[in-house]
Amino acid sequence: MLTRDLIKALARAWYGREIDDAAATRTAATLSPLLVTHGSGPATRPFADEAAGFGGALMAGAERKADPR
Amino acid sequence: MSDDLPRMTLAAVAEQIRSRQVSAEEAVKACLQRIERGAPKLNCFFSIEAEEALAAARRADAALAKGAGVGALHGVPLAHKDVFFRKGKVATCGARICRDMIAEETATVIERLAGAGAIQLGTLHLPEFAMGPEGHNDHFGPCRNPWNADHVAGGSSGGSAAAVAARLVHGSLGSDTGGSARLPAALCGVVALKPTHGLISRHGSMPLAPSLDTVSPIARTVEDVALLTAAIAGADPKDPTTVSTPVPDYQASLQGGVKGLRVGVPTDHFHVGVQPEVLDLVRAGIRVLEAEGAEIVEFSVPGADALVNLSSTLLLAEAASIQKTWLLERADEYTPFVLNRLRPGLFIPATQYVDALRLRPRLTQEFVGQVFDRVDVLLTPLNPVAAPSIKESETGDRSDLTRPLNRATRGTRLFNYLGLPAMAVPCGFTKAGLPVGFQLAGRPFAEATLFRVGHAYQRVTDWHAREPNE
Repeated sequence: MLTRDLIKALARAWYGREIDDAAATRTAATLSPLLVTHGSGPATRPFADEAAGFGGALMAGAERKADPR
Repeated sequence: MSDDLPRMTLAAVAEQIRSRQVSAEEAVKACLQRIERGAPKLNCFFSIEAEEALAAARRADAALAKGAGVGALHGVPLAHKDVFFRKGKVATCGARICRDMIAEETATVIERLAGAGAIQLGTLHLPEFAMGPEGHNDHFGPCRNPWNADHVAGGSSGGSAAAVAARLVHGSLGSDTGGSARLPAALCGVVALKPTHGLISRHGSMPLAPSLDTVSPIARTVEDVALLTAAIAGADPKDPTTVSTPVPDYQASLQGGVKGLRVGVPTDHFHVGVQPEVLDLVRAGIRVLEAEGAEIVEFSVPGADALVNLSSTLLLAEAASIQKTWLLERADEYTPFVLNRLRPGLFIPATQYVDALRLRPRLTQEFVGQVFDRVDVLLTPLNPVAAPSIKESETGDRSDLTRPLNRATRGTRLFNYLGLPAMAVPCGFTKAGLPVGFQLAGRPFAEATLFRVGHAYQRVTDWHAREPNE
């Protein structure tokens, strides 16, 4: 879970900027629901393969034969 | 006659020009006259380029008179969301920060439309950096809905949807990163295609989140959207994400009908929060397709909420990366709403972003397998409510995700994450006279199937033919 104070500290450390309490609170609230694990498991292939795989997945999805009914 | 021209479909006016029943100059003049009357009321145009458009129309007529070969859109008046770069001109992207930025090259889609003979009449409204489904822009004022000017047109391609619905132009290009073409199209009663990732070049268009961004043709009919798509689709060496497979004959695909097609109706994720009046109109649309011979299959879509969150991760991280210097150095030039939307992206962990990308091919394959082996297309509601009033949507926290149109993106963003094609089709009006649309989605590069279903629906309904009062 991200907190207001963590966001303020990161803003200072990473970007050399101060952000106000309200903005930090809003940022933490926006990001917290996104920071969940999606069960991907450990990566067993290089990332580049996975990124390139998106195009491949689309092409495979386009070529997949539909139910012949 | 003059005012009848802009009210014709894009396909009809293109045919009239090609057969020399009307000139390109007449078509352009008629649209410009309508724009002069209608655009100020709707605030849908950022710029009107009358002299350049008339000169282009005269050139188009001269070429036709010489018997030169002409493109499919020869002489057709269009205008586009102000996110497409043209060499030597400013593309504002709806932002104060970009107001003086002159483009160094021209977007591929603009070049392709010009190559097909289309004539650009101007640039159209969008929220700052295309952020916001309600369509507000505190720099330029709100774009208004042609069906009721006290209501929003939606966003972010609200200027495109409003101009097309109001019969100011025959078609438009918008963009869609999370629903930005489909939602305003539904709210204004027009058709918009979010194409498969890789079908249409994004070179020279404003990058918001490149792994999600698409260029979206918008028009009044599915046939017109198919014509626009055919003109701009296909591989582009300047955008390496485009694919080199041949572009299908979309016009031929329109005639197939829906007999025997399986239309999937997911009743869980997509129906949450949809007003009963809107849902009734969508269900009536489903019954129309069923009566035309489609097989309706109700089922659940797996993991939709997770897909929406993964889409948000990509959107926020990529938008913040692209705009980082501005976010840090020129924050005071953003409107507070957009700054609040973009800033969280600065704090997304790299591992989270990489996970969202890494999972994408697997989740796409799973989704396609689980859904599109069972059905040919999905049909879902699009706008959970009709267009809210400008007054009500200007109040409160616009980034609140429980607001109806923000919530609506839960039904659109997953298709951007998965890279799948999806299309907005108008399906009726609320008792208050505001449009409602449904969404069709298909397997990768199945635009032809979406056109086939949408066209079959429009052949037996007349929602797309209804016109708002001036």
